[in-house]
Amino acid sequence: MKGKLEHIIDEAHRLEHMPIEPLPGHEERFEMRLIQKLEHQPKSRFLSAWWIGGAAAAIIGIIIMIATREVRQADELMALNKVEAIDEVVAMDSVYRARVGTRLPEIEGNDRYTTRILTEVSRLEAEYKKMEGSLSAGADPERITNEMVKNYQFRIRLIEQLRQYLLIKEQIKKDNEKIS
Amino acid sequence: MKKFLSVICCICVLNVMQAKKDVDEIIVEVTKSYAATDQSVLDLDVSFAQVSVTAAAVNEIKVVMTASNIKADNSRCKSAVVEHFNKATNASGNTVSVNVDGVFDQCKERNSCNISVWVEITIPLKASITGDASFTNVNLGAMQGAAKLHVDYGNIDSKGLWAYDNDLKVEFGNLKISGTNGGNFEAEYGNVEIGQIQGSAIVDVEFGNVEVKHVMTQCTHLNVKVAYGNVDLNLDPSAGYAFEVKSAYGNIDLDGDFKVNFSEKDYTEVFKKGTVGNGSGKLYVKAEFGNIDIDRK
Repeated sequence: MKGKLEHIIDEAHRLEHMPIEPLPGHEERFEMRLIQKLEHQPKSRFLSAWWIGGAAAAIIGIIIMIATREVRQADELMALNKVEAIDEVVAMDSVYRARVGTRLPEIEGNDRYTTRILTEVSRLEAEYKKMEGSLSAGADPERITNEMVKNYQFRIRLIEQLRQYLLIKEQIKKDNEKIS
Repeated sequence: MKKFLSVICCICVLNVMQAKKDVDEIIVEVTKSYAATDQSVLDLDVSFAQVSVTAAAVNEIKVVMTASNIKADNSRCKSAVVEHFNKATNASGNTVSVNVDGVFDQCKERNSCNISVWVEITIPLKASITGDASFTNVNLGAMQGAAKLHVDYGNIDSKGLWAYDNDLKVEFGNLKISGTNGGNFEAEYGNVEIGQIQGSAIVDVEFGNVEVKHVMTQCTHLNVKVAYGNVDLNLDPSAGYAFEVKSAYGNIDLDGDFKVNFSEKDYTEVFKKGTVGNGSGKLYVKAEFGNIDIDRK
């Protein structure tokens, strides 16, 4: 029994340490796999990195180009807006001039207040002309156009004031007529 | 791989630099200093700028001129503005002149160069200011020297004018003073707002309102004239005046212990005359096309 067991152990030990002969042609197969691996693997890494990098650079470049273009377009738009603002002011001029024109005939007679208001309206018109000159000379368009708008608002207010004054005057006249 | 990433980074940096060059705006700053005393005068001639004057315990007048929004690639504009600033100040006798006028003319490519100009000035505590400004807001710190300025299309905002002979005129803008020892204050097409008056003053406004929040006892003579605007005065309870108040096409409202000795009213005008308090001071208020509201309580 003991001898049989020892035999089995010895046999197992022998099999374990017995050199296994590889199949014939294994060296060529190994070399071929190695070449394939060397050729294939680095090439794929190289290509993908270039592609990713190139794409990234292109995207960044496009983004920067778009951003720069946006800024340039904003500048151009601003310049364009200035021109449009001037056109708008000119258009506004004719509208308000017409409005003022329609109200002026309402004025009857001529006294200290009406003379003063009309003198002020003329003065404001002269101021407006001066601002037009400054605007075309290129000085701070935003500020000047704001003042031009205010100029019109003042003129309208003056005419409104004159209108109210004339209404009061008319009322006084009617009251005096009733009394007499 | 590392080399490749470095190349990519370089490309990106170059792109960013190019873009930055296209959009960057620079600031030009020029500083000038002149020896000064309390008798010195600052003479302003400024347009299209923001002016700020600070009075401090210094023995110089320091002028810092700044222009911003100049395109970085517009070197011609930059050098023209620097040259303009360098020539903008000069001293003669006890007067330092600051002439920042027409900076916009320095840049021919105006559409691409929307310049903003600031002028910051420090003066001795008792030095005075004279001059003109247009399309310019003037901010004055509390100062003991007189301010004699004329501003068109801009506001004057003062933290305190403690001389007695101030003379300010604003056309197409507002005048705001925290407190003053008095002087002459005029506005056309704008409002005048004064925190407190503690000296004699004349306030003359056309096409705007006047508001004085606190007329102190030290204000012995006050003359307010307004056309096309309202007047709102608040007298100190201890202040006393002989008053004359007249309104054409408006109302008069006197709130407090006003003793009206004479009153006249017709269709268009209201006139009231009398005393308030001990009646030692003189108060004249006239408004055309506006209401007068005076409180003493």
